[in-house]
Parts: sequence; structure tokens; C-alpha cells
Amino acid sequence: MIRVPRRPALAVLTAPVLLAAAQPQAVPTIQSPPPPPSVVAPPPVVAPPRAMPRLTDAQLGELRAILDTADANGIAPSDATSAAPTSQDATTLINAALDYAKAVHHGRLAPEEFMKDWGLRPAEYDPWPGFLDAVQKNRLTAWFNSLPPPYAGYDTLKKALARYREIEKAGGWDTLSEGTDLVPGASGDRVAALRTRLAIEDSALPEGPAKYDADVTAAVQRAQRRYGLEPTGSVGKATLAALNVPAHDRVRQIEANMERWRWLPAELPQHRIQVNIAAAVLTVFDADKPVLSMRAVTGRPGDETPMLSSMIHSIVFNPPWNVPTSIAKRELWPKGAAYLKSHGYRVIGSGPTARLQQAAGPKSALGRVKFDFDNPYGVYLHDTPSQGTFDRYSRLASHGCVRLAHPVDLAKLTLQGSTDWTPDAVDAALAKGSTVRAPLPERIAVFLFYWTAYASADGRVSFLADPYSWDSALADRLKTSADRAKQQMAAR
Amino acid sequence: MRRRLPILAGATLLALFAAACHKPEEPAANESNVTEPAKPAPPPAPKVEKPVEAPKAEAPKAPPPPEVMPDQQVLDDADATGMTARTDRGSDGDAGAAANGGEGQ
Repeated sequence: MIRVPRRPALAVLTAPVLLAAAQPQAVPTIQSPPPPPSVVAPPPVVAPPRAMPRLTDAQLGELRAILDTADANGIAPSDATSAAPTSQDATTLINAALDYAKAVHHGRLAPEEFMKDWGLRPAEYDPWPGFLDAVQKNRLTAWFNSLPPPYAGYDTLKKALARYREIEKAGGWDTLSEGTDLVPGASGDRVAALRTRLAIEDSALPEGPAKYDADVTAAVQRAQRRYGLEPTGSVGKATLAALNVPAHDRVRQIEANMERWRWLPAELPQHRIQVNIAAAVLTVFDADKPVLSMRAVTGRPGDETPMLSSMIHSIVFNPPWNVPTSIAKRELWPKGAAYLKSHGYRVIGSGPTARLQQAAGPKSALGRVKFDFDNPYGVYLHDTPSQGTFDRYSRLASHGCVRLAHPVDLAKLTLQGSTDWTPDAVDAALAKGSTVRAPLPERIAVFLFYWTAYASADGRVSFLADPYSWDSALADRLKTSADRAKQQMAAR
Repeated sequence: MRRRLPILAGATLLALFAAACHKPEEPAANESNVTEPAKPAPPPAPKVEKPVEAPKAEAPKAPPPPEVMPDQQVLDDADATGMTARTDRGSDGDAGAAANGGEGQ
């Protein structure tokens, strides 16, 4: 519900991360959403001179082959792969290989290029020791192969990148013309164009007439699922807009998401909670397997839910809500004293420092359950009395917190193993209505991700809208970083 | 199948009843040669229109999408929140981390 930037800048997060954050219930200082930060190129890094290892011709050839495939990981290759292995060219080649190693393992962005809300960040990484080790042990290819993020989600996106680049190379797809909604039973040129467009991404759609038949309807529903839209089977404005995103933009979207995978820890805890902010969905993993999922509501544009990792340490049943000043000023004070009283708000303090607190209860904006984890943004997972929002397909409506459709289920699951907080005890506490904090028997990691492109094992590629425009912001930064890397390479 | 017989029987009865009621009013074509009944005004020739999108009101509704079973929904949601199953990168799977002095990104 509440999302409050507390610090102007974030420290680098490591996972699982426990930042010395302010207490979530404290009344924070509110800041207006800052303007998008401009990308400031850092000063050129003057690397200390390093004694280059002597590589055999075979090893230099190996490096060239590796760099030739760098683009498959969405990393722009350097220009150092064609020269014969003179000593000078070998140095250039090694520098290019080190640049690629760092980019594919850690990502291209420098710390200062991260947006404030991109709180999930990679640790510093120097490929040099690993590279020397690989040269000495003559296993360069194996070492380079070990560097990309070791996750299925990255590998499936890599395949998707190859596929969508092929589509782009083949001309992409034509923009579908606007008009009245296309519905089953329709026919004509627009339907023919729709069928052609769908078939480019959906091999299950057979060739057929220019008629909106059952095959087209099913293909539209599949496409709508891939785009996170309601699968109505008809093509309205939102579906048309998703179908008309150019293939080139889809390639950039995949590359941006691959970069985000590089920000993840090298290993995730086996027991964890993952949220996709863009999809507004939460999944609980136990022993690395998904065991529970539910719909969520995440921050609306302007009140973005930040990407982060942390550890949930406790659950508050029947929590009061300390209203952030900005929300109180913007949304509550204007409604008057009668409204505030009828909705359980009380004024704490007086004068300019007066603040609002909403008592626990059925009207509390935090609902009956709040999951606390330390973070510098003042966000958490919680229940909500606004259950209707979960029926929507687009569920970006909060002030930055993550609202949950089934918080009690999650509470009981995360409290498993507690002798005090059995499921019955949870129910009793909720029924009683008084505010009580339940510490988790074991802290559980929580990751708030922002995935707008992901591919299933069967090759189905889903593209969600980019509600926060973080894909385009990241793609621009990646280009800037890649250009800078090339300049630095040329200057060496 | 179990429902078909009664339905068929009912339909037959209904057809019989309907036939009994309406047949006399609709002489067979070969019995109506005494006076040519006034031809009803021919219906306006159907407009041969270019195939266009069907108007909304007449459009058949799209069938509901196939239901997703709860277990499958959890798997789909897991895909959406990040396919974080680890992949085997070979024997050098942690070479990057090890060579970097132990990595905890």
C-alpha cells in the first residue's frame, strides 16, 4: 500500500539482503517521484596495467569463437575478433573477452546507471582471476559457458532472442490497421492480416481463409494470454496494440529482461517468494518447486513497486496503517473529518506534524495481514479490503506495496513449523482482531522482480506491457554502456 | 446418449403435432396449380457486400478460453514470476564465482 523512498540512493543489495531500513510503520518523509535520472557516463576507467597471459594460438582461436557467439546472449560483440594473433591483437582480443565475461555475468550497467527503484543489483565482479585460471587450466570455453545466469528463465529467453531476431530479420510483421473491434465471425482483409500476423508467433494456427473462425479465435486467446490480457477471443484496442508492437521492440524487450537476470544472485534460496511486479503475480517456492501462487496488486505507474530482495521476518495480524503524509495530504485530508472517523482514522499529534493512523479492522487498508521485511522503500506484502481488484487482468493499482489475494494462505504456509502459530492460532488471532506480531520460524527470502518477457520451456514467449517504462529505460542504458565499452576498448 | 432417446421421441411427437396443426394450411406445391398464388414480393436481393467485419450485434461470441487447472495455473504463475530453476552449466558451473573469491551477487 505504502511506498516511500527513504533514501536518495540505494546501497548495493546483496541477496538475501537485510538493509538497516526504517521501520515500515514509521511515518516517513514523502518525496515526489523524482524525474527519470539521466544516464551519466562514468569517467573512463583507467585499469591498472596487468600482465597479459600468453595464450596459445588455439586459445586465441577459442576466444574468437566465443566472442563470435557473444551476441546470442544479447551482448554486443566487440570488434576484436578478426585479427591474426599478433601480440598486440592478442591483447585486444583478451580485453574484449574480459569485457564480454563481465557483461554476460554481471551485466552491462555501472552502479550509477541503476534507477533508484532498481534495488536488485549485482555485486561487483572482476573476471580477471577466473580468466587467468581458465587460461592456465586450458578450459576457456567451459569457463565462459559458466558465466551466464544459471537459470532456466535466462536460457529460455536466450532461445527466444534468437527466434525473434530471426523474425525481425525476415521483416517482422505488418502493423494491423485500426478500426472496429475484430470479433469471431468477421471476415475480410483485416481478418486476413490478423491471421497472418498471429501465425508469425503462433505455429499452432493453421493456414485458412480470411475468416475469423474458431482457429483464429483460439489463436487470439493464446496471444492474449501471452500478452497478459483477458482472453476474450476478440481483438480490441489492447490486443491490437500488443500485436502491433514491432518485432524490433520485442527483441529489445527480451534483451532488457536478459540483463535483469544478470542482477540475480548466483544462487537463490530453495524456499523463497517471488513476485513479478509487471504481471502482479506471486509464487511461493519450496525446495525449489512452486507450491502456491496467487494474484497480487502492485504499484501503479508513478507509485512503482521497486525491484528488491529481502527476507520476511514476521507477520503482523490485524495491523494498523500509519498513513504516509503524501497519501494523507493527497487522498485523505480532503475527504473531511466525518469520512476519516467513519473509516477508522485517528489523528496523531497536531499542527503541521499531525499524521493519520487507521485502526486495524475490516476497513484497514492493510487488511488483516502484513508481511514485514526490511527494505529502504517502505514497501511490504499485505492483505487488502479491496478484493475486487484481483478480478482485473491489469492489477497495477497500489501505492507501491504488494497486495495479496490470499494472504492468510501465505501466512499459514510461512508459519509452518512454528509451535505457537499453528493454522488454528492464526485463525484465532485474526478473529480476535487485536494487533499481534508473529515471528517466522525461519525467515523467508522475498524477491520482487520485473519481468515483462519470459519464455516457457515449450518455447511460448510471453510479453507483458512495460507499465513503468523500465524496459526502454534499460535498453537505452544498455546501448550507452555498450558504446562506452567499445570506446574504452578502442582507447586501450 | 442416455438423453438422446427421450429427446428424439419428444422431437418426433412435436414434429407430428406440428405437422397435424399446420399441414392443411400449406398445400404442397403440386396441389396449388389451380390458381397461382400471388407471388409475394421478392425479397430484396441480398446485397453482395464486400466481406467486412461482422457487426458486433450479430457476431457469435467467442467461446470461453480453455479452463486452466489449478496446478497448471501455479506452474504458469511460476513461469511468470521467473523460471528460477537452476540449469546445469557443466562442471564449471560455479567457476565464475569460485574464481572471483566466492560470489554472492
